[in-house]
Parts: sequence; C-alpha cells; structure tokens
Amino acid sequence: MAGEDKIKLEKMINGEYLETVKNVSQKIIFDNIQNKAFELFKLFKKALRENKDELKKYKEIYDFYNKIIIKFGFIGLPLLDDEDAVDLVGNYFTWQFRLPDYDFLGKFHSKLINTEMLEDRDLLKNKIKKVLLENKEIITSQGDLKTIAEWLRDYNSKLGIGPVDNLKKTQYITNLKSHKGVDDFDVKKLKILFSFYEGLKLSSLTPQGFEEEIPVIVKGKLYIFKQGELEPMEGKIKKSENTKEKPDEWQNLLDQYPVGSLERKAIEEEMEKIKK
Amino acid sequence: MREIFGKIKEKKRIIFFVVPFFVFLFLGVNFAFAAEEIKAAVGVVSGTVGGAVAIILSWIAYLITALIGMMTTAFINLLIQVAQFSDIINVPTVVNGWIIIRDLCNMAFILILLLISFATILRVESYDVKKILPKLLIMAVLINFSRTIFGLMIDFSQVVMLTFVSSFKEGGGWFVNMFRIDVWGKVADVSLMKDAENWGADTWGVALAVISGVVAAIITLIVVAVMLAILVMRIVMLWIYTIFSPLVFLGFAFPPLQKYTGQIWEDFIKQLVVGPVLAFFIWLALTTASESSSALYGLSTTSSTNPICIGVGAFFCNDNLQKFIIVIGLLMGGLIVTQQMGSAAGSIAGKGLDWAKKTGMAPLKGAKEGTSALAGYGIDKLHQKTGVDLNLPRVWKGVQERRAERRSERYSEGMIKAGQVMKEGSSLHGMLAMTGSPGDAWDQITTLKGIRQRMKGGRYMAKEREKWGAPARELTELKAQRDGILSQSEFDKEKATRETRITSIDSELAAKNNELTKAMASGKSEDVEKIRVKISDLEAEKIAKTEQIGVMEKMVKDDEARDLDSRIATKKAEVEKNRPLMEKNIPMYNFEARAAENKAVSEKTSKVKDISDATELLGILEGAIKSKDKTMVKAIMKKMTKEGNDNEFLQPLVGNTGHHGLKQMMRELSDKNSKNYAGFGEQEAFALGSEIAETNKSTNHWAATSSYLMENGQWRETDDREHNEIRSIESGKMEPQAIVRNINRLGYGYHDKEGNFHIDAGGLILLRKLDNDGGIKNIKDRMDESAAQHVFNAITDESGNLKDKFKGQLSNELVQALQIRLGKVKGENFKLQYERVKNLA
Repeated sequence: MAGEDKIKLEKMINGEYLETVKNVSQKIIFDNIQNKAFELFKLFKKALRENKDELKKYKEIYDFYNKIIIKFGFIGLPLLDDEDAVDLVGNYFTWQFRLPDYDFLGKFHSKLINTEMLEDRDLLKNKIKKVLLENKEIITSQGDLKTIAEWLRDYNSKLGIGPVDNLKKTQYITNLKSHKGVDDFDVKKLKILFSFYEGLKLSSLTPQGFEEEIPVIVKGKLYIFKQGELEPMEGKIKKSENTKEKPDEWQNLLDQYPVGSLERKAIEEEMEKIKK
Repeated sequence: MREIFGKIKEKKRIIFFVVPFFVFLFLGVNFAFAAEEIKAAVGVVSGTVGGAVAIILSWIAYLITALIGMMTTAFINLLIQVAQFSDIINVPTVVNGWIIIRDLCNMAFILILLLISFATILRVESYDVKKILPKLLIMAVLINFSRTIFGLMIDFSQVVMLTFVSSFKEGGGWFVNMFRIDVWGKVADVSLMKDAENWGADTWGVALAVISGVVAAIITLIVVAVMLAILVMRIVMLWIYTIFSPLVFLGFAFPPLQKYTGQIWEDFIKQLVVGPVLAFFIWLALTTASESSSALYGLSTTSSTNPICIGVGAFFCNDNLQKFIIVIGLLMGGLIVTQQMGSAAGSIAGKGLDWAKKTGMAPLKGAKEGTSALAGYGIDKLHQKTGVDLNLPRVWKGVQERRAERRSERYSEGMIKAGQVMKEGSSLHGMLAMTGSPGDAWDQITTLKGIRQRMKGGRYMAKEREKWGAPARELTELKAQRDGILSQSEFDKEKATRETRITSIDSELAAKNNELTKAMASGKSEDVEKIRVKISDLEAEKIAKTEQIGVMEKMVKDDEARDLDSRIATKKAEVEKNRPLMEKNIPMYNFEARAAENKAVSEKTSKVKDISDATELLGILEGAIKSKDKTMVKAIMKKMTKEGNDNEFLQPLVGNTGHHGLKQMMRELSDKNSKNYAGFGEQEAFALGSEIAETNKSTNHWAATSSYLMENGQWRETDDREHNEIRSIESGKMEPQAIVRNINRLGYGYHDKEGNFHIDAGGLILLRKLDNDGGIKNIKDRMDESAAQHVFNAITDESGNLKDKFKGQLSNELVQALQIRLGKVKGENFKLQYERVKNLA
C-alpha cells in the first residue's frame, strides 16, 4: 500500500468524524444499504488492522469500530468474502438481533446465490456449521441452556444430526417454551437459529439444497422450482393486511389500458387474486 | 548434457559468426558488396603468421567437426532404432513390475470395501456405498486388464508414429543429406563463383569455412541428441506408467487416490502424444526441407545460373545453408510442441530450445505459435468447438480443480457446446457429446432415459420436440389472435361496466357542481380550487371511458371470436395429448455443464474482485464483448449485478434497465448482427439472463427479475404477463415495511436510454399496494430516498401534481407522502456524510 493511502489514526479518533460515522451507520443499518455497508466494512476492517495497537489505547473508540464492523458485516453479508462470512456468522451470530427488521435468512440466502460454485457453497455451509456448533455466544440468558453450542447440542441429541423433518422441528420449537426462562423473543431467535442450521445441512448440489428458485412450466402451468419442490404459482399472491381493497379503483386502473394489452392482463390477474 | 549447454553458453562468441550469416541470408543482402567488406577485413590478417594461425585453427575445427559428425551419425542411427521400438509392454521390467502393483491393488480393494462400510455406518457422504461401489466393482475388473488397456493405447500411438518413422527408417543418409553433413568442411568450387578472382581459397577463407562447419555440427548434434533423449525417455516413462496402470484404475474408483493417480494418467497420455508428434516433424523436415529451401533460395538470390557464396565454404553455396536452416527449424518446431506437453522429455527439449533461442533462432518463434496448438490446447479446442471430449482423464475425473485458467474456459465452453450438440446434433454427435459431461456420463449410461437419449441423439430429439410441440405453438398464436378481438357478449360486459361508471361520474359531477356553487358563494377559494380539479378529473375520465367504448366497439367480431374459441379448445386438447411425447424428448439437464461454467466464471470474477467502480467495470465489459471473451462477460455482468449495478451496463448498452432491457441484452449477446454480439449461443445467453434476474431479487431490482423461465428443458423469455405474475408473487412475500424500506427505484421501474425513469406495470402494482394508511405512513418515515425521488418525479408533473395517466390509480395522499419523505431526506444530506466517512486516508 502506498504511504499516502495509510489510514490516519488522528482522523479515526476525531470526535466530529466519529459523530458522522454514527449518523451514517444509523442510516445504512436502518435503510439496509448493502453496498455502502460492505464498502465501510472493508474500510474499517483495514483501518483497524493498520492502527490496532494505537487504537487499543482508546478502548471505547476501538470497541465502537469493532461493533460497527460487525453490524456493517451483517448488512453487507451477501457481498462478504467467505472467510469474513464464516467469522461473522460463526462468532457473532446473535448480533443480528440488535439490528432493526433484519432478515438474516434472506441475507444468507443472497450470499449463497452470489457464490458461483455450488461446491463452494457447500464448503461455506460446512465451515459455518462447524463454527456454529462451537459458538459460545449466549442466545438465551435465562435457564439451563444458554449458548448457541448448547442449544445445537440439545437440538441434535433430540432430533439427530441429519436433515430434520419439518414436523419434528416444529414440535421441538413448540416445546421450547417448556424450557425454564425461555421467552417469546428467545423462541424467535432460536427459530432463526434452527432454520439456519437446517439449511446448512442441505448440500447445494441436491435439489433440496439448491438455492436458486427457477420458474418452470410443467404441463402448461407455471411453477417455481424451490428447495426441490414445484410450487404452483396460482393463488400465491399474498394479501397485505394494510392493503385496502378498492374494487372500483382497480377497475379504473384496468380501464386505462386497452383490451388485450399486457398491462391490462397483469392488472386482471392481480384483481383475480385479490378477489380470492 | 548440462555440461554441453554450459560450455556453449560460455562461448557466446559463436553467436558472432552464426547471427550475421542468418541475417545475410534472410534479409537478402547484396552478397557481392558484403564480400568486398569481408575480404578487406580478412586481408589485415592474411600475412605469413596469420596464415599459420588460420591453418592451425582449420585443423582444430576440422577435428571437432569430424568428431561431432561421428557422434551425430551414431545418434541418428540410434534415433532411427529407438523410434522403431514398439514392443513396450512386454519387456520383463514391465511384466514383473505390473504384476506386483496389480496384486497390491487387488488387495487394496479389500481395505477400500472396509472403509466404505465404516463410512456408510458413519454417514460420511463422500464415501457413500451407492456412490462408490458401482465404480469400484467395474474398476476391480479393469485393474486386471490395465496392462492390456494401456498396451492398446500405446499401440495406437505407435501405429501413428511408425507411419512416419517407416518413411525414414532406412535412410540414415537422408539425415546426412538434409543436415548437409557432407559439406560442413568442404571448400566450394571457386572457379564457378561469381567474382572468383577476388575469392581465392586462401588460408583464412578455408579456416572460416571449417569453423562454420563446427557451428553447424554443434547445432545438429544438440537437436538430434535432444530428440533421441525425448524418445528414450518416452519409452522409459511408458514402461513406468504401464507398471503403475492398476493404480490409475484404482484411482478412478476411489476418489482420494484420484488426485495422485490422475497425474499418472495425464502424463501417460502426454507421452503417447509426444512420439507421433516428434516423428511427424522429423518426417516433415526430411521430406519437405529440400522443396522449401528451394523456394527460399529463389527469393534470396538475384541469379539462378551462378552459385552465390559467402566465403569459400560449400556449406554457404547453393541452397545448402537454407536447407540446413529449414530442417533445423522444423525439428525445433517439433521440440517446441513436445515442450508444450509439459512432460519430462519436454523439459529436456526446453533446454535445447533455450540454447537455440540464445543463438539467434528467433525465426522459430513463429513456428512455436503455430505448433503449440497441437498440444493440450488441441484437445481442449476440439472439445470447445465440437463438444466432443477426447481427453479421457477428464471424462472420468470430472471437473479438475487444477486446470489453468484458459484451459478451464475452453473446457466450460466445451461443456456448453456438448449441451448444444445434444440439443441440436446428430445421433453420433449426441453419443459423443455425452463424454463432454463427466459426472453425467454415469447417469447417461446407467439410466434408461440416458440410454434412450444416447441412442436417439440430440437432433432427433429436437425434431421430435418440434413435431410434438407444434400444437402448443399454434395455440399461442390462436390466443394472440383472440386477444385482439371481442365477442358481442364480452363487449356488452365491458360496455356495461363503463356505462355504469359514466352514470356514476355524471351524478358525481352534479354533486360536485352543487358543491362548487356553494363554495363560490361562501368565498372559500381553496375549496373552489379543489372542487374544480376534481370536476376536471371526472370530466377527463368520462371522456376516456366514452372513447374506450368506441374503440372496443370496433373490435367486436362475434363470429370470428366464436370460431377462435372453438379452435382454441380443440388445440388445447391436442396439446395435452402430445405432452407426454414432448417430455420424452427433453434432454437431461446438464448440471455438470453449469458447474463447469460457473467455475470458469468464478475464476475470472476473482480477477476483477477489487474493482468496484462501475464505469471501470463497464469498460472491461465492453472490451470483453468486443473480444468475445464470454467468460469475462459473464463474470463482469454477474459481479455488477451482485453489487446492485446491473443498471450500469443495461442502460448504456441497451437503453433499458428493466426486464425488457435485460432480455434485449441477452438476445444481443447471441445475435450475430448486433453490436453487442459476444459469441453466445441463445440458451447460454438466456441462462446468464436467468442468473442475473435471480440475483436481482436479492438486490430488490424487481423490474429486472422474472425474465426467464424453463420450459421443456430450455430457457425462454417470460412474456409481460408471466413477468408480472412471478414478480408480484415474489415481491408480494415482502412485508409492506420491507417494501418501503428496501426497494429502491429499480424495484418500481426502469431507466430509458436518456436516463429518464418510468414506472412499469409491476411497479404500479407495488405502489398501489402501498397506497393506503399504513403504507403512506411508512413512505413518509422510511422510504428509500432514491426510490422516493424517482417515483415522485415519474408520477408527477412540473407542478408536483399527479400526471393524468396516474389519476384514478394513485392517490394525492401518496404524492404528499413522497413529498414529505423527500423533505426529510434533503435535511439529512447522507451522501455528503458518507463521502466524508469514506475519506479516511
């Protein structure tokens, strides 16, 4: 690296700069701006690497950057290198729960989609599975089982180490509350953990573990090939609770387009589905 | 051998003799003029002492030439003998060695079976019994025939090689003639020379002739010695590989060994190729050098009646020198090819070649470029072009991780080609193409569908699909025709709907007019304005509805509609009937091809990993399209898409960032008449498009998702209806808060060539989903700022009011919410802050 590119410590510890970082990070995290999170993840990682010893003297600032790197890592997860992804998910799994409206499973799915080679996806899954089984982060603070490793051990001992049937998994999750000191939020966290763990067990080279969702026509009907199954497309549009059904307005919208036009067909489909 | 090279390296002065001769020859220097210059130089040392020195030098050089000549002759005889040797697998070394290795391998099977049993109990997937056992059993048999199999392959190589060897095996003299050994030390007949009086055979003239003979002798000896060494090494290595042949088959069955035994297999193949290639070049040199040198001789002289010489050596008269150079050149070409093989023998050849390069054999560079295509490249290229893979290790070992980048690229192209051949090719091609997909090969051989497909061949299947798929295509056409007309009942229904609305508009208008009168009377100007806008909107809507009725009336063709409905019903039944026949002819999906392609792309992506600037990436992409570097095109497009920058290439290249743009881009990549043609096949381009569309879901660029679907084992473009349907379902899975927060402008519409943003049908549906109390609240607080800005600009006019075409579809509350959001965004100045944070250096 050229000398002029070296990151300046004095800037990193400057109060005004830190304030700006806080503002920017809030927006990036709140608005889930993946690209920018990834860029700053790389930047701060490099900054910490280059100024580690000096920065450790300012413990609070050092911790601040470390925390922000983890958060940016989660937001930019789909773009992270495998090594960083393993480190993040394997060692800071519970940090995701500090992020507002964060969809971890979706993010990890995107990370896998972004990995070209199916074999590489399997490698990544196996590595993460391994570190997750040794993860000592506390996911439920009350009760007998606390850490991720303990919960996964319990899960494995009761359901086995192979892919678990959905019904059995649901039963296990339903019984979670019988554990002493496990509240609703804990259940929500554990649900994500077990769903994620189950996903890691499936090889991307199998139809069930293949991440891409492929639209496919079978016998003239449209399906989505997803996790080894063909999902029929009809009747799948989710009705939003917030959506007001305004038939007359839909009709107005429909009337804007001539009969036979593609827009009209799309709107008709939409209306049909809302009626259902 | 190393010592010889070392000594030659030390005596670099030799170059001063050799280089000028070659330069004179190739540049066609005026020899008469050159002769004057040389004579003047020689005259300085032509006194009595100088003459004595010249005589001594001549004697020493003569002795060296004689010695090297004898060695060369001996080597040539040996070369002919070695080249003819063909009883390779029956020598006692091979027979005894092979028996021991075979027995060891047979014993190893017991251990492997035990290992499999343990692995199966412990559920270790890679040693699963179902996976390994079938191969293991077949290989257990093949191991005992490994020597015979290797022998057959060696025989095949020998047959080719001996075809060439047989033409020169009787002719040691042929070598002598071609290398011009007989004239190395000979003095030319000076009486016949042009300007003979000035070129008397003085002592220095003779000395120079004899010394140049030494140079020629050394070059010849090195070339012959290297060739001999290669052929001897080849035989020894073939012995060794045959001895270890059982291990190779064991490796095929047992993956952990494959890494090591695969190398033996590859090297064995290389050695098989080395012999015929070298023999071919020797044959080529001996049979064609004379004619080739005549052509060169004709070019480099001005007269064909008198011999033109440099000095008194006969070696430099007539076409002797040219013939020598051509022969040496061709043989060097042969050595370069063997060097490309990367074998042990090749590296010896490489050393000889290095020396030759240092002594000014630059013209051979061209030969290197020309001949290198025959090596590993050739097999890959054949695979790339035809989909037929002759590289047997590859067939069995699958995608090898250690493949070099270019080879890997060609391989992936070969895989795709194999798929195409299966789709379009002949029966024979279809069968051979199966070897293009190693992992699938097993399925193709062991499954009924695979066997049937092999028998049928791709072209036949394509024809069958064409035949049975005809009704489906006709059905689509009929439906399209039907969409353009209305039956009387349909028209009545549409008309009634509109008339009801017109009546309702009339009553609304009457009510609004009353309201207006009251508002005017009370002097509330704000209310007056609002009511007038509403009245204007209602009147516009009424006109639109009335016009629509008129348009639809012209579309009424009752009889035709009835006829089409009946034909559509019949056609539908026919399509259903043909469906099973269609499905029988759908090729098996080639996952291996996809995997190989992804590997090549992945490797290429790592090269541009650190480039994040979209403009720079676009430049690389344009260059890749121009040079038809398909792998780079895929790598860049996928990288840009992953980073949410697919619009950065779609907009400049095709002028549309939505699904229409994506489809157009992919069509152009495979359209020879397009400026964006990059050598893609249609299916290959569509597959890339499908991946881009899939990735766009994770970046929420919904306008460029759902662009392809798979039908009958082939990718095809979605039509607008399918696009909107799939898109709505996928984006419909998102919670409204997530829609507002995460979807940026490219989730609602697209940019055109001029950069203007437009809301598309899918975007409009999405906006309407947000056009309610909850959605509007979310928009005010959290909507992505870029989305808010672009959506606002797209749906409003200069005064900030809803554009006419959105009236009745989107509410003014939504517009106001966007305005509020934009007001908030302006205060935040995020971009500036972000840049400040990034500037940490």
